[in-house]
Amino acid sequence: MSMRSNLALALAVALAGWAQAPRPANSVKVDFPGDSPVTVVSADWGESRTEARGGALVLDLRTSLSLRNASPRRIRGVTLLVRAQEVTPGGKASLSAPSLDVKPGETFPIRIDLRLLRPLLAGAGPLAEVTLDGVLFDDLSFYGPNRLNSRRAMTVWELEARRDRRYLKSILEARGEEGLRQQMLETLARLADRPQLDVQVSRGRATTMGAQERNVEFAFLHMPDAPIQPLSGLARVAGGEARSPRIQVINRSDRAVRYFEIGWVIRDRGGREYLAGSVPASEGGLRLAPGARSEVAEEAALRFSRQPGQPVAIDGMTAFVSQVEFADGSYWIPSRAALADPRLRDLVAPSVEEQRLADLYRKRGLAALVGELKKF
Amino acid sequence: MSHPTNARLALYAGGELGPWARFRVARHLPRCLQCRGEVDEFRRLREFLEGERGELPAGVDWSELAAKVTVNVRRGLAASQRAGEPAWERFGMPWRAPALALPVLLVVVAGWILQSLPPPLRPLPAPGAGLSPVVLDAGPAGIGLERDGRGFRLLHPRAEEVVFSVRGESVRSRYVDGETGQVTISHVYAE
Repeated sequence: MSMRSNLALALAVALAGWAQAPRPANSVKVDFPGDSPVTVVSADWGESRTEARGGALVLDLRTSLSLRNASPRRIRGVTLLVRAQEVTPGGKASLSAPSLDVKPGETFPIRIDLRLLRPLLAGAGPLAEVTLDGVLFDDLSFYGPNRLNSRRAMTVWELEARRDRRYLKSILEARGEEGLRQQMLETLARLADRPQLDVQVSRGRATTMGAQERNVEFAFLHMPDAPIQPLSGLARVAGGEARSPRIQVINRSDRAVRYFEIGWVIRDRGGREYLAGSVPASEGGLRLAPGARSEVAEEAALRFSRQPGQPVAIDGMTAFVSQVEFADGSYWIPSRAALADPRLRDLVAPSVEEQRLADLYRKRGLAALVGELKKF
Repeated sequence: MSHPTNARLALYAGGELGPWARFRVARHLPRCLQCRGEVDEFRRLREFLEGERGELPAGVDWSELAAKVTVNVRRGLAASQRAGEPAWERFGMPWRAPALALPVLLVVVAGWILQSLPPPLRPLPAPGAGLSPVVLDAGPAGIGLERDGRGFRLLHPRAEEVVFSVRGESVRSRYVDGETGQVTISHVYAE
């Protein structure tokens, strides 16, 4: 075959490959509402790549969205909704950037690192769609469709941030910079030493449970000022897998409650405890009057492991109230005093804001941390 | 190194090659003593014949004779080239290039069409009809969802101090971005 024919063939093969490989910018559609207080300034897809694996195509979409605060208020948090219906029907995800302080007109980045696995040949449309789910402002007002209940989540993060900034400022006033330094070192140590588990959640799966399955009752950590009090609870457990947790609670406050979450701690046979997550009350429809009782339940099966293939043998479980939303729209979160309980302190991760400030201290030093606290 | 044929060298010596062939022979000669010698030999022979022209019999039209010789040399040259070619070229099959290009073009067009068709190649079962379970997982490789060989995953390549947790039927990771220092909380949900 002549050189001319070789060149033509190579060109055609390259063209065919080009036709099959989706371009990152075309694979994700970024679509914000027209009246959004946050606008997209630019999207950088520089490190995105595509790779064929057997009959599947793996798309690593790495983008950094540059967003601008187009509103007259300061932004405290943003949540983006990521849908991948084309790839996984029913699949959705979210990315939240809490603990922000974005002035009107300022820009800020949000990085999206998304890996999509799909058949080699698929449709030509976007594989994922990124939309805005909500924006929280400094006066706790909110904008957005709130499909993921991001308003509640971002409000709780902001309330925790205010609680922890107040706490750190009080340390600075009472014990000076050295006291603040000690607090940050403790926070960094907690983050580093906090026991961590890998977890798998199966929904509707026929589990490995069988004859070994047993009921394990929850123990409860008492939170003195919590408006909700857990009464009893149990889950089905076999080895490293737990399913169908059910917890009965009573509203001890004088206000109606419309949402709450129960923190869930598991203990292995060596007596080591891990914060597994939380069991939320059902979204919508709940109105727990003062003195009334209710039950939270999950049907999913959770499998915990230290590393892949090393399941944690669950020996016991503990629960505590982690957040409450009242019917009037106000919230309860644990106080710093309640979180100082030795068991909780070791289990519960520092708040989002405390983690951010500890990272700031680690990278830029005490002066930068003090300056940051004085901004609020 | 491949050498020009003698016929080609002879035509070159007489200044009767086309521009491209002449360029190629001229490019070859400075590097090849043997071919230079052949060309010199052809030139000397040509000069000799030119010199002897006046002593040959009268009545011969030398211009006509030279033209005939040139035509014959070209025919011989073409015949020798064809002897080394595949049969279909010797019989004059001008569709070889289209025949090669057509399958490639078909691949490109088929790829284009298939890409524009709606997925999936492997249809997902209807809800409630043997649907595979959704599996969410959280670990060092990020948090993700997989079902029937499809899935997606939120990664945290520059993350520091990653905290994983389960919240109902969703998994969550929380980390500080190593470059921006910004805390990011990602969730994957099973609907």
